[in-house]
Amino acid sequence: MKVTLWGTRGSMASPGPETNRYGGNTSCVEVRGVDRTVLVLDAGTGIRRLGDAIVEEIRRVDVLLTHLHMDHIQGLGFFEPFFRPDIEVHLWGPSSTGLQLQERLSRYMSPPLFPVRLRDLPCQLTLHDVVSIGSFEIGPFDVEAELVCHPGPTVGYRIEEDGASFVYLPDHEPILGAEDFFGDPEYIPGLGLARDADLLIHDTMFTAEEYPSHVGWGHSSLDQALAFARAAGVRQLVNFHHDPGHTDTELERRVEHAIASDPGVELLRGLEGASFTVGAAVA
Amino acid sequence: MAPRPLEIILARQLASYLAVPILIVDPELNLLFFNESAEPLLGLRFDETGEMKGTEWNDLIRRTEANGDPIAREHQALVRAVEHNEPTQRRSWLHALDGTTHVVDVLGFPLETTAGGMLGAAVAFWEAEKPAAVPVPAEVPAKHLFHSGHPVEVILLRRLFDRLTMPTFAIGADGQLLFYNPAAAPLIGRNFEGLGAVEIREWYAVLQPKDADGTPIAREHHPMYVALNEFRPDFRQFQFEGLDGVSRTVAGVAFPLVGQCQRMLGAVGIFWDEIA
Repeated sequence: MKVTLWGTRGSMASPGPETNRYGGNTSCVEVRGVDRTVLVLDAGTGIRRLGDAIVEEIRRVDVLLTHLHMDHIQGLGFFEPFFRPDIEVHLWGPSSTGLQLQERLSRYMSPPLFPVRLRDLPCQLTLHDVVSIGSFEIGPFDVEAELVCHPGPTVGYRIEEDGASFVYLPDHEPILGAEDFFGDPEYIPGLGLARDADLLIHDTMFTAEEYPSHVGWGHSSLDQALAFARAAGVRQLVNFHHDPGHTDTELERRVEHAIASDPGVELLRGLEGASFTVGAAVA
Repeated sequence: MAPRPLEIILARQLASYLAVPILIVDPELNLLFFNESAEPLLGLRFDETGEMKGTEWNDLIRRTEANGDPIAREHQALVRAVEHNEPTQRRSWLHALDGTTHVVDVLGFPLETTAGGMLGAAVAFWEAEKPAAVPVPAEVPAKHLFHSGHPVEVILLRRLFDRLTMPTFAIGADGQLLFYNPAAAPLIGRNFEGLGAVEIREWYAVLQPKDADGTPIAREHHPMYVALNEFRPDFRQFQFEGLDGVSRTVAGVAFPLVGQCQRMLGAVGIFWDEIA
C-alpha cells in the first residue's frame, strides 16, 4: 500500500512560508491499495486537494474519521466526491454515548456552520459507526478501529494489506496518568493496535517542554511517540499533527536531534506531500 | 486557565466514555463536568452549560426526597463525599430542567488522592425504576487477540482509581478479575500485584461473603455478580474473610462497566469499610 500525507498539521490550518515544508493543511492521509482502492484518513483541510486529485478516477471512496474535532472534519464540505451522484462515499467514524455519527456530523454539516446539509449531499453516502463494528474489510484492506486516549470519542486505525501493516494515531495521549510505557503493556491505550506495525503515524504535537502544561489535551510529544513506538515494536514512525505554531525550522531541529540520539525506531519526517510504501509497491 | 489535577482529567475522560451517567464536582461543590449519558436525566447539555457554580447548578437541577422535600444537606451524596470523605448510596428524586422527574439511585464517592489531596467528588446515578438496558458484548477482532490490550475505558478506570483512596475492583465481561486498586489491598489482605488471573466465582469461593447475621450470600446476589449478569447496579453490606484471615464488614456498590456504543466491558465495585 502507499500512504500519502495531504495534511499534517494539528488544531488549525497554518499556511505560510514558515510551514511550507511540513505543511499547513490539517490532518488528511490517503491510503492506496495495490488494486487502487482509496481510503482517506480524516477530513482536515488537506482533503480538498486530495478530492480534486482522485475524483475522476474513483467510483467509491471510504473516509475514515478518527474523531470529530474540527481539524479532522473541516475539509468535508470541500471534498469533491461528495458532490458527485455517481460516487459511493462511505464515512466511518465514532458515535458518542448519546448521539449517532450522523447526528454528530450534522452539527457541523448544516447551517449556520455550513450551507449544505449532510443529508443533501448528492453522492451515494453511507455512514458507519466504527466503535460498534470494530473490524471490517474495504477492498484489499483489513481495517481495525479502537478507542484511544483523547478527549471525546476518538479511534485509531490499523490497516493491513497482504501482511503489511500501517497504523494511524494522529491524536493520542497514551501516557496520560501512566508512570511510563513499560509497566504493563495491556494498560497502554492503542498499543495493541500498533503492535509490530510496519509504519505508524503518531501524534507528536508538543515539545517535551510544552507537554507538562498541556496534560490532558490529548496529544503527545515526539519523545513520547518514540517511546510508544518502541514499546509497540513499530518499524517506522512518522511525526504528525504538528502544532500550528511550530515552524519548519523548529520541527526539523527536533527530528534531527531525535535521529541523532538513536531512538530505536526509524523516524520519518511527516511532510505534507510525502509518500511511504508499506509492503507491496503500488503502481 | 490553570490545568486541572490529573485525577480530574482522568475522571472526566473516563466519564465521557461511559454509558453510566456521571457528574463531577470540585471541593466547593462547583460542577466540573457531567457526561453525555447524564444529559437525558438532567435535561441539560454540558456543551451548553459548561462548568457551573454550586448555587447555579443546584438551582437548575433539583433533587428531593420522595415527598418532594429537599434532601437535607447532610444526606446529600456529594456533600457527604466532599465534606465527610464518605461514599454514599441513596435514592433521590431528580427534577430535570425539562420538567421530567426521574427516580434515581445515586452513588457518591470522594475523589481523594493517595497523595492526600481532596479534589472533589463524583456521583454515578441511574434510573431505579427502569429496566436495565442490555449492552452488547465488546467486539474483539479474533485475529487481534494475540496482541490486544484492554479497552481504553478499562485503562482510564485503572489509571484513575490507582490514584484514589476509594477501594475499587473491576472485573471483565468474562468474569475475570481485571484489577483492584492499592486502596483495596487492605480490605482484601493482599496486594493485587502478584495475584494471578482469578475468575469471579473462584474469588467468591475464597472470600465467602456473608450477611450481617452470618448467612452466606448466594453468588447471584452479590453486587458484582448482579452488575455483570443483570446489567444493573446493586448495593449490599456484607462481611467476608480477607486473604490475611481477618474478617471485615463492608458496604459496596457495583455497577456495570458499559462503554462507548453500549459495549459490555465488565463491572466495577466500589467498597468501603463499614467499621472504619
